[in-house]
Amino acid sequence: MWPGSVLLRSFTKPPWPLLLAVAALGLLLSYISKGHAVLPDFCGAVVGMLPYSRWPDALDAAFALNSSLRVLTDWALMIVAMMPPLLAMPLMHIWRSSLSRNRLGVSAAFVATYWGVWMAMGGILTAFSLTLRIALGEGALAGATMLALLWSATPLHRAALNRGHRVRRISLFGWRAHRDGLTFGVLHGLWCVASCWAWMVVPLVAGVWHIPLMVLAGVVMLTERLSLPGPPRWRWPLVVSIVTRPAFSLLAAGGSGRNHG
Amino acid sequence: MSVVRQDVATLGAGWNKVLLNYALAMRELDKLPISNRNSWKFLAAIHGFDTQLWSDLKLLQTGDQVPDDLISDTYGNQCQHGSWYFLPWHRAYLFAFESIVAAKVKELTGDEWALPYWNYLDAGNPQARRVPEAFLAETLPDGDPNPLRKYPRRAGFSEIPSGLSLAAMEENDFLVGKDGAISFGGGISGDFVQFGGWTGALELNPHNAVHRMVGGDSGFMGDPLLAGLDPIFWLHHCNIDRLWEAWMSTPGKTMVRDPRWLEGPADRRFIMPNVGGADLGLNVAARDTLRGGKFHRRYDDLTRGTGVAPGAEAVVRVKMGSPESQSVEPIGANEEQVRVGGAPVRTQLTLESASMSAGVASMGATETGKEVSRLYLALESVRGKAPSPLLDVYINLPDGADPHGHPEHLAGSLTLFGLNVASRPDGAHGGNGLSYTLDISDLVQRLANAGNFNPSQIRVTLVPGEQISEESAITVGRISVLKRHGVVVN
Repeated sequence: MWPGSVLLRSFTKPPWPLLLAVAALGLLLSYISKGHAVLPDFCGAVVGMLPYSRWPDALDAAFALNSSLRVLTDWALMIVAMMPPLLAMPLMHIWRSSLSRNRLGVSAAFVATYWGVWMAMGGILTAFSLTLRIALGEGALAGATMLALLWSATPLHRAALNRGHRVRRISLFGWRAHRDGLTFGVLHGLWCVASCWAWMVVPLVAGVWHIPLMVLAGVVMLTERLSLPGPPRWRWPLVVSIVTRPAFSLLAAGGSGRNHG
Repeated sequence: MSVVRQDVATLGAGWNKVLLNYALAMRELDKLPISNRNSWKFLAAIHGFDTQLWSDLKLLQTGDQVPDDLISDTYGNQCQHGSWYFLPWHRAYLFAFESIVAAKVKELTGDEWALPYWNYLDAGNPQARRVPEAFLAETLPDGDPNPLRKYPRRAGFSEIPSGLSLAAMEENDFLVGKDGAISFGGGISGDFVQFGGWTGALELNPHNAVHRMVGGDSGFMGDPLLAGLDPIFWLHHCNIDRLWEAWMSTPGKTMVRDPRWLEGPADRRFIMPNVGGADLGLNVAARDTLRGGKFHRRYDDLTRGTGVAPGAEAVVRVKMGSPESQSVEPIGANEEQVRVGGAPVRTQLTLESASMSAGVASMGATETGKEVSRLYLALESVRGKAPSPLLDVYINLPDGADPHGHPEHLAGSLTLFGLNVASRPDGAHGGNGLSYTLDISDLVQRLANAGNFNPSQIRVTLVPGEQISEESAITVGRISVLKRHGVVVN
């Protein structure tokens, strides 16, 4: 049997179909709401590279031209479009660890704080992407992509991915169960931000390619997220392996390819 | 090769031909550099390898070139524990090892050779638990040092003490439930699924127990990073493999049919070296290890020391329906992570009273169509630094009682083999450690019959054994009670 069919079959098991559907919905809403246009336009007002001394003025002007509510809404939809598939493992852990009557509540608590962490990062990453546009002009997309590739190659990135594999104890009863869901969401969100931030910047500076690059970055982040943990060291970014290695070994390439116990 | 694997006890005392050939081949393979994929060290490193540890133990000499494929993503550190790939991966591993040793034996002596198994649970052999004499002898018949005792074992080791069990063979299902927390062969892993590293019943005992009993805290068998160096490792795993084969050959047992297992894993690759170590190794899918597959081998006997009689219905426990139709739900847990150091630790579990009572009431059901339950104690995300610590688990011990004086409260003894590796934050388990389930149905029934059971709560006492101390403590992320539920079928 072709290994890819085994790989794809794994995505037919719950909760993958639901999470992929939520991501697709987020993507659709991003497209409909024209969020794909606002963030790039946000940066597009600045054409070409500006000297360092004018960056603060340019940033002020860009923020003044766009409502912060709209920027946050677009960022929120971006998170909905890109992050759900990354949550399969922690959600499965919560589901299997909880009383049946608590499963939805604890899962919701986890998602809420996880989402909250990403929302808190929205302003920082948006400002960073805008700075990139101001600094690099039309070269911002190439710069952001290079930055993401570089980050994916670092030991720190691998270490953050490893920590993202860590599951936490979920209490079985009462408020403790929900507390544990909230805590797990925060911690998982922080490690997710640490491993994914660079790829999130790429669609933010992509201009008219915003939506396609959301999809591409989402696939890269999912592949990295699913790769097995391994020793933190410099390595080829997973996306490079995707291009250069057979499909079967793609995911193993990101981790150590080991499952040793 | 059509040679059948045989019980080492039936091959003759002392330096019988099979063991002598094994020693001669090992001596030659152990001379090869680790960069050679057929070398003894390379074969052992496929199971587990750590450059620093091996250097500290002088297993790597100055000038040794550690090949990239041991420390990168291919051959090294592949061993599967706490996983439904535990049995198929080790079967393929045995096949590759046996092929390489057999080729060397053929080259040296012209003899055919097959890996023998150590049938330590053969009740018909009073010497079954004693390690074969050839593994203890100082020298070969020609007076040269004996390679079969080259690598260290527990000080003074010559025989496995009591404590092994064939209870795993009573389990009817390779795995049950959505994640395989309860299983004969290990929990679901790989394939983008991450659960707690659930250890299967056969892996827990006798597999883990034998590793600890032979290796102790300083012998190589006690550490997965070193175990493959000890030549007795292979006879031990050959017996584990035979137990799996015997289990599969017994009517009433349900092997996993999940295509993810059969064709998997999807998210990584298992690979074994060829004879000669050619670049293209042998890719392994779990399906390849089943009867008719390229890694399958025959045994001379599947009855002695297996607890089952292949071909005959041997269902000790009531059949609870297909694995897919059974459910596994947590119905109780403790409130905080538990740390176990140098002294016993007690923790209290709160239970869903109604669910627990219903579970206890239906445990003894035998009538077809009736609901039936079994209860399990789950130790989740156990972490620690030691390679194979021992932990005894008691339920509802009287206050102040010496645990060892109350074996009637013992739920089980756990050898946490591989805990060191599974607990590494940057290891393949993501630092989540390993998880274990103990069937407590009979114990709970006895306690309930004696009036010593409260369906709202139970007390669990964790008693540290060897390799657990204040300096080398373990933590247990959560202790829970799982209810396995099904319907009695014929």
